[in-house]
Amino acid sequence: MKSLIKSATMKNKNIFGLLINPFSRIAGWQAFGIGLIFVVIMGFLGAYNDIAFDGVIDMHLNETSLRLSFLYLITDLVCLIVVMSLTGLIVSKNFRFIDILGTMTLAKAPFLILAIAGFFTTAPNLSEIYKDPYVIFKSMSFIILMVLSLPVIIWSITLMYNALKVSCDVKGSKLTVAFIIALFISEALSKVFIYLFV
Amino acid sequence: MPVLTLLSEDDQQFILRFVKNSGSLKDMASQMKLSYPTVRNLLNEVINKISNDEK
Repeated sequence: MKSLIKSATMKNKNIFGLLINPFSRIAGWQAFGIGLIFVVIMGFLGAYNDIAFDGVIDMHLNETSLRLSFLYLITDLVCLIVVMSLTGLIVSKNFRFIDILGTMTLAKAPFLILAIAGFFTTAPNLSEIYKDPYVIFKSMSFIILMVLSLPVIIWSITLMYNALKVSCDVKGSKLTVAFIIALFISEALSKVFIYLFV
Repeated sequence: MPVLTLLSEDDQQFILRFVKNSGSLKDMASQMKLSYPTVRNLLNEVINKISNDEK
């Protein structure tokens, strides 16, 4: 009985471990393929549910066309992958670009939850919000989406952190500092590019 | 050779597997059901341990 409980606990730990760091098992082209499937579904659902993924770790409820939805996602991914690759060049001696490409693409997967949650969310009208900001609190589905977005963003950031860790073989404070700076730069860059070109 | 004996059993097993796979990290990764960078990171760890032991 004890061994059964132990194996069940181990299994749970393994599942949790895989959820926050699947990159010990999947990287490279395989991760890129799976990540791309998630991103494409996000693109379609984002357009359908009017959810704009307009930043590396960002989302807003906005009217979004299919073209815009994919342009946002492509801009996010390109900014994230380029900045993380440059960070890899600085902090690591040897890494493969395909590992950064694959793991970072897969790290965006949790945002699919928000794209799906969009089916059940009705955003308050912008003009109504300008008149009375407290109208937001009357829309229960909107509040739930906002609350849900926090763990999703944290999950995605954790995945990005582990993606950099596994892909570039960096650890400790060097990894943490490099990751925080890279994440801020990639988020800022994606915002600037979306503002200027999309 | 004495340096190898200083390594843990797991590390020695890793080196044995590495030799058996003719140094192919890709083959090792599929055998161990791990990703390529994870196996490469494990190899880096063993190399670091050997370098430290040699000093």
